Amino acid sequence: MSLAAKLPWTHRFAGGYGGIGSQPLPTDADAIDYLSRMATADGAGVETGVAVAVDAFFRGLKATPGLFDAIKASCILCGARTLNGALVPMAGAAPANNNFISDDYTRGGATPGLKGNGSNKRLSQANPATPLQNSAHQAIYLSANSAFAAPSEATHIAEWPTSGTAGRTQITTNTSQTFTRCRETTGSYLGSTSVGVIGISRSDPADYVRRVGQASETITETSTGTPEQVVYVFNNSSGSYSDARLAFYSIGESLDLEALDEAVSTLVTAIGAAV
Amino acid sequence: MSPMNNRLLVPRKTPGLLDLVPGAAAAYSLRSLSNSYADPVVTVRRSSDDDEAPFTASEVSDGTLAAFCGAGDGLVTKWWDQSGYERHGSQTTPTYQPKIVSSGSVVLEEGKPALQFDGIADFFTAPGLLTFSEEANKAVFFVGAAGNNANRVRALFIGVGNSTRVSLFKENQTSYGWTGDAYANAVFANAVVDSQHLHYASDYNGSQSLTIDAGIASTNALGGTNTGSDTAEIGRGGTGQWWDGSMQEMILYADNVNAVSDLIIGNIAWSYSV
Repeated sequence: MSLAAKLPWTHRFAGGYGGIGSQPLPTDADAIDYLSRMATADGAGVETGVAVAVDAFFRGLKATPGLFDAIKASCILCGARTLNGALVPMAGAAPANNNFISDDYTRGGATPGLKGNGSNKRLSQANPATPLQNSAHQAIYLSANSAFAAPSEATHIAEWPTSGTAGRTQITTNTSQTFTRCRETTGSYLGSTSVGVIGISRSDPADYVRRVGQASETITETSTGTPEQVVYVFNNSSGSYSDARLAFYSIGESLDLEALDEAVSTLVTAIGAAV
Repeated sequence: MSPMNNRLLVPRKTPGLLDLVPGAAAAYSLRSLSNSYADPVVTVRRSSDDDEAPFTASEVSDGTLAAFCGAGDGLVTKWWDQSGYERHGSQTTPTYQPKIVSSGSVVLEEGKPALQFDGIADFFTAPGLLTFSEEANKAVFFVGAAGNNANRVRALFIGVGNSTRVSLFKENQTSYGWTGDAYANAVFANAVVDSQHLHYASDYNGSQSLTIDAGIASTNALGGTNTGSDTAEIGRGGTGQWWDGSMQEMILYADNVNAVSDLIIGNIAWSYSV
């Protein structure tokens, strides 16, 4: 990456230098707001190359009708200069950090993201909207999978009811399987897993869509309730902590998982190359 | 015909960095840092017959230097100071000379000419910089890429023997350091090594700071002025810790230039990005 692309996007000469050259800067108002809040938390704006990737991500989300608005809470866990910057939400409220430290965070490269320890590190994410039983999604970008082998499992994101099992929503993997629930009780195993985007989205009482390894399938399981309004990232609130590395998570209402996958994967790849 | 049509329109030349912010204490580069600078930027010894010749910035990049070196290597015996103070960096020992032409091709970093230091023996002595450590206000702007290893290596060193007074260095595979006083008082800033970076290191009345690519500033109040330095080197730390990567530009100011640092950083960043 050129030195100009490494200049903070907030730098006086980030956009160009008279008589020498120029480069694009972020233009999307929501992206600029997010990047500005991140710069405050970080102590400096991210490199222009990172900022432009984030800007393209926001514009990409908005290119698919309903996609951007369906994301009610989300953090991009890469790109920011510091852990504090990574925990600035792109949507919704900021998550509460439970036990993560700076060394757990890798901002770029081939496997960026925040790494759990499988024992006591998690984020508590308030859901800003009242959870809906039949319009819901969760998604993560798994940069590096859990090292837990079956029957052990790592839950990467979960939104459960305070008691009982009705309406549970979660994404869980180990080295060989993926397990998901989306506003239901039983849950469904997939006999494989993959790094990259893993997502679930329900828009119908009878079934939901699961996306793993850039392939989507319909899971026929009837919704059974709504969970409480706190989402745990890297944990399921009952002891199954994640030891994986996540570069992104989002929660909210039902959405187009394939479009979200494309946007998030492009973002993580671009950030990985930029820093 | 209107009067306008009789005028000869000459494009305005972009001001050089030292035209914009004059007064550098020393300025080493492979580009011309001011529009009035017409002297060479390097003197090069070719490996084929040890003949030496000076080269201007345009001659470095237009093929003249490569033609002089033929199919062999070009080793730098003198990195010219463009400040006017003649604080040149020099190296008379052939095996200690950084490379600028390798097997007939000019060494490039991100597409621009660069000096390649081998991390084993290459460095310049720059005795004209000895008094730089005595300044209450001092700033260094440096463009280079360190090698991807865990060794501490020095881009700039001014001290007593191998005892640091002023130094800009790569600490390990995740950080760079700077001190205007002593190694123990250094500030450190994280950055990926093995990649070209623009360093801005300053010590203004004992408050020292280091930023990489204009990112997060690492600061403390442990800088200082010094006396009695007897060693000033570019690419080595007194008796070891040789720089193991490329260098393209190092500009030193014995002044507080913080108010215009954006202008300097912008000029440098864009000059190495086309």
